Amino acid sequence: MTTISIGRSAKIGLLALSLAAGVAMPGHAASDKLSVVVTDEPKSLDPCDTDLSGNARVLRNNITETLVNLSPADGSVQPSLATAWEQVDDLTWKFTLREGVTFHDGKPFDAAAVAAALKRAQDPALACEVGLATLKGLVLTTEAVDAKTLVIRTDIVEPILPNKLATLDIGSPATPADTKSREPIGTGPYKLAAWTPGQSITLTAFDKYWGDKPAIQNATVLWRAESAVRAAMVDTGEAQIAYEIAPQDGTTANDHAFPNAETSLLRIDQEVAPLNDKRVREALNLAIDRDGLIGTIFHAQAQKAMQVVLPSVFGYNPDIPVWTYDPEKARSLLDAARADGVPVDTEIVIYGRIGIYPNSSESLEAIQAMLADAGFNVRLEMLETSPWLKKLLKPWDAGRQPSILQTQIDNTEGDAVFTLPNRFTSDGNTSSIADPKLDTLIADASKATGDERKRLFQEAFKYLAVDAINIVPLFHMVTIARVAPEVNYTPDVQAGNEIKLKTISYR
Amino acid sequence: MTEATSELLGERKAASGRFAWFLRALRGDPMAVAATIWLLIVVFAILADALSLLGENRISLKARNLPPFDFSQAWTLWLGADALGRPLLVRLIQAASTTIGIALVTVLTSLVGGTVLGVIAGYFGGIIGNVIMRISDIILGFPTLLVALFGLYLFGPSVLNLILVLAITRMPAYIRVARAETLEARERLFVDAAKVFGGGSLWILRVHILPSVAPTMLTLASVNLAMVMLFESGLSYLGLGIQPPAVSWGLMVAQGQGYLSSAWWLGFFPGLAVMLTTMSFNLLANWFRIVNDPSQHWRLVSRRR
Amino acid sequence: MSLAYFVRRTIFAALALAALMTSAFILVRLTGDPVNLYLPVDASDAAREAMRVRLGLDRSLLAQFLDWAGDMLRLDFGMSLWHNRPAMDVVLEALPNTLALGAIALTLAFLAAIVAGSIAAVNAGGWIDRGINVLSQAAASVPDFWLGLMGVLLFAVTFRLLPTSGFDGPVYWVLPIACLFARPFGTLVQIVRGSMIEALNATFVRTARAKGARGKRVIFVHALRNALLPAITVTGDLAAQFAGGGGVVEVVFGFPGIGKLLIDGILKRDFAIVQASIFAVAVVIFITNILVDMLYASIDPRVRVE
Repeated sequence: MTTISIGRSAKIGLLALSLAAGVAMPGHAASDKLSVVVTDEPKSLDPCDTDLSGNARVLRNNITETLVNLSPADGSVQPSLATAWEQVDDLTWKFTLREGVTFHDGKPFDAAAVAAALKRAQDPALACEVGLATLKGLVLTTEAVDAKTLVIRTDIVEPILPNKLATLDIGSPATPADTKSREPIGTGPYKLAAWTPGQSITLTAFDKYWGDKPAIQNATVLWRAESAVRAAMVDTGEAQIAYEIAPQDGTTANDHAFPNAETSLLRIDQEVAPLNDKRVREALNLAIDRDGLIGTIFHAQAQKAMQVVLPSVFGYNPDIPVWTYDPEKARSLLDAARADGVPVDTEIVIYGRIGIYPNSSESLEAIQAMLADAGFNVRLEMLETSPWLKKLLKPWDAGRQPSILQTQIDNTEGDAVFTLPNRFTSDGNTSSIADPKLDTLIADASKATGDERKRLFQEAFKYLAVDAINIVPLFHMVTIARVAPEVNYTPDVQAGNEIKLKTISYR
Repeated sequence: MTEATSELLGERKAASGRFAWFLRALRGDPMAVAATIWLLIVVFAILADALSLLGENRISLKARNLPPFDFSQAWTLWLGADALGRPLLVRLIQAASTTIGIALVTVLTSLVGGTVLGVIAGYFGGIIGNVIMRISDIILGFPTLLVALFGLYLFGPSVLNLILVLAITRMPAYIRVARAETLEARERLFVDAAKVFGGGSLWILRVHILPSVAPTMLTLASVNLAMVMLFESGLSYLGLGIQPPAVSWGLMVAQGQGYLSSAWWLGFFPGLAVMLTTMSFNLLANWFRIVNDPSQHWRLVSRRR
Repeated sequence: MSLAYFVRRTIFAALALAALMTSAFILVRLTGDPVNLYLPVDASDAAREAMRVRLGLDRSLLAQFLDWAGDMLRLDFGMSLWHNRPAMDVVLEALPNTLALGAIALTLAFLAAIVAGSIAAVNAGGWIDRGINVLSQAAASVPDFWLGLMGVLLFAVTFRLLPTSGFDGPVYWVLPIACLFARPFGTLVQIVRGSMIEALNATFVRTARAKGARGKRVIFVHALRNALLPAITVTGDLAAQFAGGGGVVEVVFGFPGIGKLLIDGILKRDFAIVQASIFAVAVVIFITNILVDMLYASIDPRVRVE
C-alpha cells in the first residue's frame, strides 16, 4: 500500500538522521586540546577592558599579560612583565621590564609599549573598563627612560600603584588607539585564533612565549547560561572545565569548591523611612537565618560574613561579631521603633538580580519569608541586569519606596581601597550611606601606608557594619568548578577573573 | 444551529434542554470526556486552594528538593518539594490559577475587543474600518511571540502587561473573522429587510449581526485558549512574563531548569501540566467545533486564525 | 498572480515596515539608555555622559530620528553596541541558521504529518486512528521549551547520546529540530486527517471509482491532493511564525539564530541589533507570505489571489 511505503521512507530518513547524529558525537578530547565553559560571552576582548571578569578570564595571562601579578595565596605583588619596581618618592615609581619578550605580532615589548597601553586605557574617548574603574581619578604620566626602564608619576599619593597596575593588561603597540579592538595582541602564552560571536573563542599556543611552554596547545572558551547544562557538558566531554556550577549540581567528585573573592550582601537604602532608623536595620540583620541558608541554597562551604571583604584582604577586621539569628529580638526592635512613631509597617521592596549568583531568586524568596516572619512588610522584585543597575546606581528618585538591594562585591586586588570608596562614601554613585565620619576614615586610610592603613580600614569596616548598619552582610561566597578527572587543574581564588590555561595539563 | 447538529447526531428532541444535549454529544467522544475530567480536576484543585484546604505552604529549607513518590510523606508532598521545600503539588495548583486565569482573561479581552472592532469594521466599513483592518494586518504579519516579547520588553513584565500584550497580539484574528462574518450577515436579506422597516443600526447589530457572529467567535476563542496558555508559559520561561515570587507553570519550568540534573521533578511536572491542560482545551475546542459546524473545521485553524 | 497584485502588496508591505520601524525606534528609546549596562559600575558620571554623547543619545528624539531615518534609507542599521560590529552583519550571520532550522523542522513536520494523517484517515475510527490522534494532540500542545529541556535531560544528561547545546556540526541540530517539529506536526496531522476523511467521502472520489480507476491507489492520490491544500496553507502560516518564533527553543539550546539574537539584544539594550533583527524578520515574513500565496495558487488553479 502506498501509505506504508511513504511511512517507511520517512522513518528511514529519521533513522538515518539520528544515526548520523550518533556518529558525529564529539569524541574524547585530544590531549593538547581543552574546552572551558563559562556563563556568558565576553563583552569585549580589548586589552583595556579587563576590569570585567568575563573579559579578563579569556585575556588575562592567556593572551595579554600585566606588569605584575597578585599572589592568589596572600595577595602579595609578584613580577610578571616587570621584573622589579621601586617607589622613588611619594609620587614617582620606577619599573624594570622583562628582557626578551615579544608580542604575538612580532613587535618587541618595551617601555614605550607599556606607556602606550597605559595612555590608551585612560583615554576618555575609548571608555576603557580599566581606565573607568581601577585607575579612576588617578592621573599617570609616563617616561620611558630606556627600552627596559619605565618611570610612572602619579598626581596624588598612591601607595599601592603596583596592585592597581596588576589590572592593566598590556596590548601590542599595534592595537588601534582610537577604537576598541576585537583582535587582542599580547605577550601571553596564547594568541587569539578566532572569536565566533555567539558561539566560541579559540586560542592557540604562541610558540615564542617568554615563559614555560604550556601543555595545552588549543583552548576553546564556550558559554552557556545554565549551571546544569555547564555541568553536564563536562560529563559528556563537550568541555573539560565548567565554572559557576550551582550547589545542587556540584555534588560529584569532579566538583571543586573554592572561594571566589565575592561577598554577597543586601544594601539598605538607609535614607528612606523606616530604614533610616538604626533599630529597623538591625532587625533586618537579626531576622535572617544565615545558618539555614548555608548548605541548602548557598554552598555548604560559604562563610557567614560580617563585612564585605574576605579575610585575605588588607584591612579586613577580624573583630566584628557575626550577626546571630534572633527573630524575637528583631520583633522587639521593630516594636520599639513602632512605638516611637517609625513607620515600620511600610512596604519594603527587595530588589534582586536574576542570576547574580546561582540560586539568587531562591535565596531572596527564603529571605523574604524570614523577614515576613519577623514582622516586616516585604515584597520581592526580581530584575534583569539593566533595571537592576538603575536601582544600584544614583541618581534615585526623591519619593522612592524603602528598599534593600541584592548585590555582591568582589575584591581580587587584595586591598580594601578597591572596595570601600565609591560604594560607601557620600560622593559614591552606588553608595546609600552619606556619613562624613566614614568619608574621612576612608579618605585617610586610602592615603596611609602600613599598619596605619590597616587600622583605619579596619575601623571603617567596623563603623559600616556595627555603628551605621548600612548593609546586611550575607556570605563570603564559594563557587564550584567541575573539572574532568583526566585534567590536572585546581581553581584558586582568582579563578573568577583568570583561567590560567598555562598551568593546566592532562594527567 | 441546534437543529442542524441534532440532525447530525440523529437526535430530534430539541426540548430536552441544551445541557442534556451537550452531555449526550460529549459521550460520543471519549477524548473530550478525558479532557473534561482533567479540567474539572484542575478547577476543583484551584477552588480547594482558594478555600485554603491544602494546608500550609511555607518555606522549609530542610525539605528542599524532596523527591516525589515518597508516599510515607503527607499527600501534598507526593510530587516532591521545590527548591525552597514547599510542596510541589500545592505550588502547581497555585500556578494553575495564575496560568489559566491569565489565559481566560486574555481570551475574553481579545474576544470582546476583537468582536466589537471586527463588527464595526464590517458593518460600517469606511475609513475607520480600513484603519482597523490595516493595523490588524500589520500585527498579524508578525509572529505573536515576537510581538509579545517586544511589548513586554518595552513596558516591563507584569501580569497586566502580559494580559494586554497577549490580548492585543491575538485580537487581529478575531477582528478578521468578525468582520468577515458581519459582511456575510449584512448581505443576507433579513438585514436589508430590517433596514427597510426602519431598524436602527444598534438594534440591527444586536438582534441580527451579533447572534450570527457569536458561534464562530466562540469557537475561535476556544482554540485560542490553548494557544495563549502556551504563549504565557513561553514568555514566563524567558523571564518576561510572571515574575517571582508569583508563580506560573512557565515560570516553574524556568526555575526548574536550574535543577534539571539534580531535581528533575521541579521542571517536569509543571511542563506536563501545561501540556495536559493545553491538550484538554484543544480537544474540547475540537469537539465544540465539530459539534457546531462539521464543515468548517479546517478553515478555522488556517488562514483566518 | 498578476504583477499589479505583487506591486500593490509590496507597496503596502513597505509602508507597514516603515511604520513598524518608526514605532520600534521611538519605543526602544523610551525604555532608557544602555549606558549603565556598558560601563563599569565604578565609572564616573562624566564618563557616563561622555558615552551618551558618543552614542548620540543626548540629542533630541527628533534629531536622533532624522539621522536614523536617513541611515535607514541607505539600509545602514548602525553598529551593535554589544558586538561592536555593524548590526546587519551580525543579523545576517544568524538569519540563515534560523531559516535552516525552521525549514528543516517544518518540512519534516509536513512530510510526517501527511504520512500520519493519511494513515489515520484510511483507518478512521480504528485503534491506529485513535493512537495517532492522541499523539498529534499531545504534540500540538507540548510547550517547546519544556520539550527541549526534557530532551536535554534524557538524551544529553542521562544517556549522553547528544550534546546539551551549542552549534558545532549536524549533531547539534537534532534536539532543536525535534522541539520545533512537535507543534506543526500535531497541528498538521489533525488537518490532513480531517481533509482526507472529507475527501475520501466526497463525490469526486466516488466519480473516480465509477470511471474505473480501480484500486485504492488512485483514490488515495485524489484524496491526498485535496488534503494538501489546507495543509500547505497552515504550513505557510506556521512558516511566518517560525521566522521569529524559534526564539525560545534557540535560547534553550544556545542556538545562534535570529530569535536568540533578538532576545539577547533586548536584554542587552542593543538598539541596533533589535532594530536590524526586526527588519530582517519582517522581510522574511513578507517573502514567505508571497511564496505561500504563489504555491497556493499553483496547486489549486481555482484560487485567484487578490
